[in-house]
Amino acid sequence: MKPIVTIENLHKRFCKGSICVANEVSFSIQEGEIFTILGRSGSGKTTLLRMLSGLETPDSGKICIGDKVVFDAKTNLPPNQRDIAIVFQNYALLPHLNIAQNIAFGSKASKDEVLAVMQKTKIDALASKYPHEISGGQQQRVALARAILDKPKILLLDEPLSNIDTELRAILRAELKEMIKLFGITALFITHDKEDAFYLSDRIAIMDGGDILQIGTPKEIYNHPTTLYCANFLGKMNLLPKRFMQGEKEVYCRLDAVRLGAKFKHKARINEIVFYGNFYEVTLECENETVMAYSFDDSLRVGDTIGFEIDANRLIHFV
Amino acid sequence: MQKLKYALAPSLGLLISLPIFALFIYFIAQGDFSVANFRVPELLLYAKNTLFVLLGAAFLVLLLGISTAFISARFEYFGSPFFSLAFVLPLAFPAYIIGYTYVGFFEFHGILSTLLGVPKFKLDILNIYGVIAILSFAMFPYVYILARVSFASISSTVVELVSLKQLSPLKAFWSVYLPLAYPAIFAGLVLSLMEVLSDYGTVAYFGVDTFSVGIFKSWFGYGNLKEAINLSMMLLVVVFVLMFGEARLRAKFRFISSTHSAKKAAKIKLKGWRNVVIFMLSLLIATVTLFIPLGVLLYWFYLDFHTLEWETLGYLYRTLSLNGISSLCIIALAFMMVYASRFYPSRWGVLSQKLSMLGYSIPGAIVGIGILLLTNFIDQSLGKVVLGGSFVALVFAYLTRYFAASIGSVENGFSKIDKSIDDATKVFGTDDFERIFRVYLPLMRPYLLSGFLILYIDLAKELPATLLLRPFNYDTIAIRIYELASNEILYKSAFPSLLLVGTTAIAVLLLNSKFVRGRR
Repeated sequence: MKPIVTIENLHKRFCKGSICVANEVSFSIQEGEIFTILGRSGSGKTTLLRMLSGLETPDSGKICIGDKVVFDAKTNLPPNQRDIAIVFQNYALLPHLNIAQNIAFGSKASKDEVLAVMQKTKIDALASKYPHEISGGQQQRVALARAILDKPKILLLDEPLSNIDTELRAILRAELKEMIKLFGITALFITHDKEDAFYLSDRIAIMDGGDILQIGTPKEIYNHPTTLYCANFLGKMNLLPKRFMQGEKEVYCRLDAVRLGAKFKHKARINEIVFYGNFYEVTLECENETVMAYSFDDSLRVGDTIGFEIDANRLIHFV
Repeated sequence: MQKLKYALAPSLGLLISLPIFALFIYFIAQGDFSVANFRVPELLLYAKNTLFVLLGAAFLVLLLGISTAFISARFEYFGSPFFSLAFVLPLAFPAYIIGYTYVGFFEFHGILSTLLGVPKFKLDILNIYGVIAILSFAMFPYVYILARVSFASISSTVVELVSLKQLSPLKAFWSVYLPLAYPAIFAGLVLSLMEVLSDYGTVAYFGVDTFSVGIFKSWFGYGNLKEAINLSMMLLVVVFVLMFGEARLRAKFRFISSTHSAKKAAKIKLKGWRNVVIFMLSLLIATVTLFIPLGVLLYWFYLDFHTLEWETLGYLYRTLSLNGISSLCIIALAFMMVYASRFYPSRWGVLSQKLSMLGYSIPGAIVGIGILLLTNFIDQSLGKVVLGGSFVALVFAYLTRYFAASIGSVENGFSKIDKSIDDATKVFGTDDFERIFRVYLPLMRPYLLSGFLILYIDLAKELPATLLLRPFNYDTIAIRIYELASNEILYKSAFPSLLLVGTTAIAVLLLNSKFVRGRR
């Protein structure tokens, strides 16, 4: 596999330099993968996408897309010459053009090509409708069809799922993944939602304060976060009792790395049980220290004593 | 090429405000306060009259504007849909036409004396009080239109609060509803007062010497440009004080907007004597501000019916084409300016856009003088008359004077277009040409249309700048009316007046209709 996008030492400050939104950022995206940038609002992820697309100009650094340098000290290609396409947060369909015209907007593609994309994204029946006449899910497919019509080197997705309620969101997310894989597109996905990130991504980069903190597969970054920030951002953790410490370093583990059962040798008292519907979050007390765990067992009662074990392969400590 | 695009908005702004700069530069470089150009007694008279007219008109405009706005926004009564329209329509009349009709109405053997059967009866309104009344009748719709929106968007929770606290209607009005509408009222009041300051036709006919009359007298009467410029600078001081005052007041009462998002309160249906009282009040205001002027015009038209001057249609055609072309140019430049500052923003662009809006607060006579300075300068440098008395000079004056009126609707339209649409056109579009013609012009159509209509109304009523700058013997319909009235052939002015008011009334009605408003 070869990289489709390479970003080197990209730097950008706002507000006369007082806010850093990209601090010497470098990474590359491989052909065919879905690469996600995950971060809270204000982390710099959207600015990164805008710099990649040419909607924002970096202060310094280098961006290559395919074999082409699209930004460096001498070059700064406009968005429409970068071989990219964007699916916007609110889809940004042009309200006065019908669906077919929206998809073909600005493209030199033939009518047959437009029709082919519409058939593949299952919106060919909507060709003469207007954006306000179709559902949110259909709008997403139109935005996607417009974005992939000219076969961009990379598809940029700017939080397309963020303003949608939970139920529809799961459906659209599945559809999005199916389409991206169907067309075999390389995609950069921006989100603040870890669930979306885990579901869609081949690799995830966690971003905060203009820095990329960690890059890895979803499993890698969940199970082996390199910083406390990344670890906390992706899920709850236990700070383990002192006897687990490795030298001076504190050791943590995920709640799902704690197994409960009568057969395990460590014993603890159940102090609290919180019901979340599909699982319980159990707080245990063991030698005046607290450990939390997940359980599906609804026979557990506060005050009971229970055995537990921590998966030794899933201990987390930071360098 | 890219750099040129960034320079577009700043250079446009600079061009538009050039006549005003010309005045300042001339004033600083060649200002002359010798006795010939700075006659203190006249100056004091102009200042006293201008101030008195301003204060009087402010009072009457507020009285008429606020009462009509509140009635129309909050109550349903007999004829309320009709009156809500009737209160806008005085905008279609230039103030001087209302003035002529009232003079005709009250004169010896005039309409009122005939109606009363006392031919000797006469009410002399050719004085400063008459001017105040006439200007207020013509300008109060500015307050009415803006305050009506504000009163109509009072949220139902505010009304519920008022009834829970059991406030009396009067107390509720003074302590709750009126303060909520302050910003709109101030904005409307300042617009009206700017027009009052700018008026020339009415004050000249009524013989009240204000600054704008003074500017004309010194230029046309004595050919004294320096005195005209001195007077212009004085008037500008008044204008800036007004603008500053409004900005201060608006900043002070900014708390308002937070209550506007909630559900709007329903109108109150009036019954019994309340219905009668409010109907009578509406009828009185509409009679004074609309029916009498319109009635007088129709009566004169009837008198003149067999001797109509059909050349008037020629004046109408000239006015329509001059105004149509000017409005198109101005709205196109406003579109270019807002487009350029949206896609190619720069600090100079923001500044120059503010500068370009100065003209709206500056009386037409002053803008006219500024243009005269510019054209004189250019013609002298070229050694021949190129711009003096040309259409270019006149359209330029309209541009400077009314650019702000059009840029408002264009900006409003652009502000309704999501920024992500801009990004989408940058990513998927090809160039500015495609962006403008395939995306922004179609999306902006209703806003451009309303900007065009506003311009058309303003230009059709405009008198002072047109008088100063029109090409030789090129009479617009407004000028024809002014000339007929100046020659005391009032009844003859009815036909051109009706034609003029007919076209502006259509524009006002269109602006007020769902055709323009509903498609936004």
